[in-house]
Amino acid sequence: MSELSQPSCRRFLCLYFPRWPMQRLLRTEPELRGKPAAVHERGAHGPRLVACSLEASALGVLRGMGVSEATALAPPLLVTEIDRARDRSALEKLAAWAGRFSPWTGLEQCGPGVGEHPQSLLLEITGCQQVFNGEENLLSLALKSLAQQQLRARAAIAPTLGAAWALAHYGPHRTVVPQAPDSALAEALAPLALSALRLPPAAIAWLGKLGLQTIGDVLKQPRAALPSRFGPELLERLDQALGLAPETQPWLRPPPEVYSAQSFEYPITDRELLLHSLERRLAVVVRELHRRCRGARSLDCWLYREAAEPVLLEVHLFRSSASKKHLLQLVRTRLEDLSFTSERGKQTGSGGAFSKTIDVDAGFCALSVWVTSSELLNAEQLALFSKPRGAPSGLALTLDRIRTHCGRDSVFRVSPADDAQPEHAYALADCEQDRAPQEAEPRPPRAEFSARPLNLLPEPAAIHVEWPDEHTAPQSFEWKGERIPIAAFSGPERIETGWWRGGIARDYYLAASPRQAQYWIFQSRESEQWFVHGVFE
Amino acid sequence: MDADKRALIETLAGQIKGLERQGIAAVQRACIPSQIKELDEILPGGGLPLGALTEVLAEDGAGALTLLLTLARSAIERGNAWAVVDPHRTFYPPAAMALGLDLSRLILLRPTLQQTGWCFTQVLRCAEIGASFLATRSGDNMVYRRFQLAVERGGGQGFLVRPTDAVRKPCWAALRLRVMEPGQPCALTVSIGTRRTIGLNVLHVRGGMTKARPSPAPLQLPLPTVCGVSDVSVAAVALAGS
Repeated sequence: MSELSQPSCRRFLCLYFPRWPMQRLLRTEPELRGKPAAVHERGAHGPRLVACSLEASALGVLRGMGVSEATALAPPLLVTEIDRARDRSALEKLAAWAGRFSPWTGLEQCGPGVGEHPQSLLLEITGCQQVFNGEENLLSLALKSLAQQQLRARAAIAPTLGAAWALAHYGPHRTVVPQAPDSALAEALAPLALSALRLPPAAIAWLGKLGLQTIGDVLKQPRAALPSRFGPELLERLDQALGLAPETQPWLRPPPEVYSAQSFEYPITDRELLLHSLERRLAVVVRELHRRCRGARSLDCWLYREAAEPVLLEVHLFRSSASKKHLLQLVRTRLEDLSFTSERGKQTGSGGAFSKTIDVDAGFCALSVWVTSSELLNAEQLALFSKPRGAPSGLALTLDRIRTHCGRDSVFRVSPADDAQPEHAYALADCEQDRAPQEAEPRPPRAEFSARPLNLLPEPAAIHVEWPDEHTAPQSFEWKGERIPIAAFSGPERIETGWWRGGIARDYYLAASPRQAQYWIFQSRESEQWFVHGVFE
Repeated sequence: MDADKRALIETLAGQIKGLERQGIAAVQRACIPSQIKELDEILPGGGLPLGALTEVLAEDGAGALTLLLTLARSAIERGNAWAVVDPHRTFYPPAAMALGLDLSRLILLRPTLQQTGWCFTQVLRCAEIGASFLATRSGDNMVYRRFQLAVERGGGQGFLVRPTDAVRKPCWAALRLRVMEPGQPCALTVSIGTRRTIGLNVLHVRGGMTKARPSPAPLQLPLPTVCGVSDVSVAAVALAGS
């Protein structure tokens, strides 16, 4: 038996991300950094805070607090609803990223003593430390890389999964339990609270009543009596932490990747040559996709340079596609967004509209095409003269082209939302295959929307209304530096809602100018300031 | 003028008429009715032509987009989807839903101003999109010509809102309407939405109108109403009471 196969020689790294939902939100919405922000979750007793930023904590906001209580305590608090699916997905992506340190990475297993939602990564680094010149260096590098991604983590390395988890959550930061002597593990665990054993809260409460507060207290008890007095779980968790019992951990296995790469004999500086090479790589990728009956949903094309950072061309698709022509068209669109320095001075027409300028004086030395996301192609009835399998529809082609050229946040599907506040009365979502526009359920029109304008300003614009006599209609209002006389005026429609996100109280009116232009204006009941909110276009 | 020349002119005039009739017949084969009967009556083919642009010239807030969404209901129902290109991010879908339009098939596009023309061309070229809408103040002849070619290729319908000063610019649309201000002579009076009436003039119809252009008459419009309150004094009382 080799030395590495002995359980005592295995090494595990746990990376714990405190307040993970908040950290993930700050990463996706960097404008919230430095502001008091919190994440809430709807429950049986109303929305409650799940995590909050350090700035919010400084104002006295606590986890578990009701949203109304928290906003009353800290009025500038920015509250966002939690998105568990995105939190988990981001953690899974981080686990895939952590593959640079170990081939075995995974998320913590949720349970009664751990929590319902994962906040930690576990890595088996047995043997990997040699690549990084020691465990300390590996740990430092991991934490430094995470800090560069604006992530804060607590870390620990131990011979067992349970011990690494316990020390990362409840022990000193950056604890590394040495491999020898054998007693080092028990000594490191002894001062930790019993919650570090991932026991259910009821069991911890029961042990607490008996005066057992730490793992060391439990270790002093006669081992044989523990199962009969506290159930089998305590001894099992204790043994798992000490390496006396096995523990299984599901590791993330990345799906088999479809990719194709090519190196050039000499650096390429010509756009057409590059496109030709990309076409050949795409042909290989598409052939492999067909073999697997899959279609690509997103592609990464990396263009490598010898003395500079590689260039990434990302392509995201509306529907999965295994059509070389379609994929090449999208890659070509992305390539057209790049301005080649060698082509400067020759640009005509669309020149100057490039989103990026890259220096290709030294040329590209290699390229690779990766399918980063793929799906099974929908089963289709094959006809004698049918289109090729995997070819997308005209609508999908158009939307892919627009998303590739204008960005993913330029194409939306719309659905009505049950919210009285006008700006929240609809929701935008990505045009995705599983929720394609023609597949959604049509909804009947709502009567209250008949008095809504077709153009609603993204932010209400403050105006000055001239209203000398309150018993008659106002005379005019000033907007965009222009005085607009009011020929007809009707209302009000009072909208008072949204207390959980700060709240609004507005009286809306319809004001028509003598030239028949109609405006939707309101007066805030709190500040009595007037605003234009929409135009009946 | 000698008899030969007169005969030649008559022959040529007859050929021109024949071509015009053929043009009208071609238009008649590919039209879908708008929701406005008075307008359908004067359009060749009895409706809005497929594979063509329709544009409305109007001032801000005059109801041009509401008019177009009303006109285009059949076109919207015909395609798998309908698209609104909204570079200013002001389009408010719930108001479109109140007009009876199906939001589940709406594709809302929010490109940058620079990308707007390209984006609108792409949706016009797509055969599965029945109707595409854009409100624009800019664009040269080249851009509108691209729109025209794109919609001819796609076979759907393109709807444009343009400012009134575009009346002096070339028209690339099969139908050009203008929303008139109160007091100005207008040819048609049209109800849009649930509570609004606007005056229209027909500026251009490709293929010519099937009957004489309606004689313009001064437009008399009622006051707008909201929540059942139409009188200013009543509204003021309601406000004082609240």
